[in-house]
Amino acid sequence: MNKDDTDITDESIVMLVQKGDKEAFGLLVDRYQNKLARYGRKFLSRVEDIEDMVQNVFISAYENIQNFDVTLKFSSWIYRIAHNTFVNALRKNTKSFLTIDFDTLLSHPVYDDPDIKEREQKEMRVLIDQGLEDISSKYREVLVLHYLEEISYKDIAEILQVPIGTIGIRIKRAKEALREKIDQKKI
Amino acid sequence: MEKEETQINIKDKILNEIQSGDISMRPRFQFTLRLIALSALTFFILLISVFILTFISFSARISHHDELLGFGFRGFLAFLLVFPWFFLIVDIILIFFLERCLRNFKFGYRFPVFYLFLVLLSAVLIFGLGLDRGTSFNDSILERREHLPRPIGNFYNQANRPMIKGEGLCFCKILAIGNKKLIVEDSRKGGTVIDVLLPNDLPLEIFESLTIGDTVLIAGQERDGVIEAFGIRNIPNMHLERLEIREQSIYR
Repeated sequence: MNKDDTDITDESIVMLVQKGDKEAFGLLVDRYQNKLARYGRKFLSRVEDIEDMVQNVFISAYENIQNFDVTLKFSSWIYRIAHNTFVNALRKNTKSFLTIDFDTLLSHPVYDDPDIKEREQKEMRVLIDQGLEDISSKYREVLVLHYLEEISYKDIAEILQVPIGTIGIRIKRAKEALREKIDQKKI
Repeated sequence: MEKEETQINIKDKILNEIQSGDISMRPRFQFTLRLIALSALTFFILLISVFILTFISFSARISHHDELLGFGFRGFLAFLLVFPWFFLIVDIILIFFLERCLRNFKFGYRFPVFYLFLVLLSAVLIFGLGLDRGTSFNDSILERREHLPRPIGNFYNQANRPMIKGEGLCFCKILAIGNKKLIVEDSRKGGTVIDVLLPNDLPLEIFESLTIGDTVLIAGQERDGVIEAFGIRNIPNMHLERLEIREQSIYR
């Protein structure tokens, strides 16, 4: 197999790794290391050792790769591991005994319109650069995944393991919070 | 600018660790075992939840507390007073844990938390009530309780819950019937005779159905040993034997 082949899907590479092709795992690292680093930097905001964290994500992915179902999307799976790693890093700095996420309690309508997203994309990227650090990590994360990593609501719901409606409402609130913070900065 | 910031290269480092054996894949059976254990735990919690719910229903039935619901709003309040809240709270906590277990599965986390909780609560209610009201499951356990493992046997010994003196609720045996008044033997305190003032709006057919020697459920306000009843119901299938069991458990 030519391992530089970009046509081969992530899931096919995983199958090779599961069968014992250790080198093939390098392809997955190539494909995701910078994406995960960007996600981590934006999500964690003030963390310096992002390289170590991303490395931990890949170590965890390799250790658990036999648990991956190749009929599902590898990208959602690796982002899920990254999410858990980053959340654990955040928790080290905050003492939260029991948290209830009220966004997950009830269902919310979802409008994941690609046309609207395309129009918003540029504006949101500018806003994210200006004020992402000032909003809570819960909101930062969905904005990064949706507007920077360009992941759909459905896939973000799989990554965060919450109902899809929760993603919709969280992105809406995140945008409001971001705009509010930027307005406050301007004043 | 942004892209430059996020460029990293950890591929060689990771591949070296893999090649040297510092990092290794966990075998597939570990994940399968974990899944089986989680499924078994979820199923076990579900079974216990249904069991407790069916016990609550059985206890209300065998103690005739559910008859109180036929006495209107005051009967409903009296029902709440004698309801085994402790078991219900334990059951709700179990359903909460059940919900947490199910969130490890795809179909679990796709549901909003509150809706999943409601679905589980409804399922436990339906199965629990159905098991008690639709089958003889609990009755047969009660009959065989002496031969069952002690925790289950002891648990079912508590199924028939006594009425507590002073709450205005009792199973009584009619000794005499007067005008708007009964003289009864109070089962709550072996053989004590008390007066029961009948409600003014007591339907005539119920009054006429009362005969000396009947066991009746009385609900009312209790003052100075006299019950001012707001509801009375004949309990034709009340087994004296069960009353005795209850009395023994109160005054033991």
